Amino acid sequence: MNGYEFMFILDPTLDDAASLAVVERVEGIVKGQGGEVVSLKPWERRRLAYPIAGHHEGLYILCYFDAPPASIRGIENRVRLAEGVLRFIVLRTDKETRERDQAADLRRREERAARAAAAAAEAAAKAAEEAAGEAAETAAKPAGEASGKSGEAAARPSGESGGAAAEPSAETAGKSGEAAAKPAEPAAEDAGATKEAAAGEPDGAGEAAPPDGSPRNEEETS
Amino acid sequence: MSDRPATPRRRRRQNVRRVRVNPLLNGVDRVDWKDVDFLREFLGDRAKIAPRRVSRAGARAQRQIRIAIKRARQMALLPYE
Repeated sequence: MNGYEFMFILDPTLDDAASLAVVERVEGIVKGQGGEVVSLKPWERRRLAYPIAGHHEGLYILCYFDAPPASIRGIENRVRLAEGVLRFIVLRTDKETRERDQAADLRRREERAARAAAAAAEAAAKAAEEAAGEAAETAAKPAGEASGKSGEAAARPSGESGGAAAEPSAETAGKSGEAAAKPAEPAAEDAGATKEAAAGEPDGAGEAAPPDGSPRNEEETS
Repeated sequence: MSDRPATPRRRRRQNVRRVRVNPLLNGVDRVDWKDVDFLREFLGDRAKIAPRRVSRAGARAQRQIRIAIKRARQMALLPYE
């Protein structure tokens, strides 16, 4: 028995029941060939990098299973014939890699959620600022008080990085708008994680354009 | 500034090998083909895989990146072009 990583893309136009049926059929193929499914979860619904069979979107399903090596060919051949599966890949893995991949996958998912929440909080703060600005124009008394606060905080985030911005905007968003309170809370919690992610990007940018960085390095070393 | 001599002495460029460091690869000992955002850093505008000269990756890391990008392309996670 070997460990395998198995990802497949489902036809996104299928409804939930039909998708489930396809997944069950695929699971049946794996089991029918002597495989033991360790995990079978929807991974992501995402836009395809290029169209497959006329589809621009796909529902990615990620499965880990153990099976005898001789069964893989049979599994692949049968999955290839399965309707509703746009594409699939079967790769060897071991338990350690699987567990690490799953943990890393979860971490990335959380980071992405935190980033989205931070962006939502920022958007909410911006909306609050605009609303406050409008309110200030009409010189309404209760709105005028809020406009001073949220306008101040919303001005700051624009200059700072996304992660750092989440904190001040989250505070005022909670005060100025009830709708804003929901995305703002997780953003404040995960502000640390987003800051890290945001800090990673400048590094990448510096790396992508070595002409900027390299002359400096040379001077330092010489 | 004002302290600087009128004719600055040209510093000779030493033939020191620069250390290959890619900040992205710090702490990465296995590249996951499903980590699309990470792999995207190694694709140029034309979706070509960055050469080692640009990616600043060691042989092992570059090989893992190359294989991971190709797998991601098969699964339409990354573009071919």
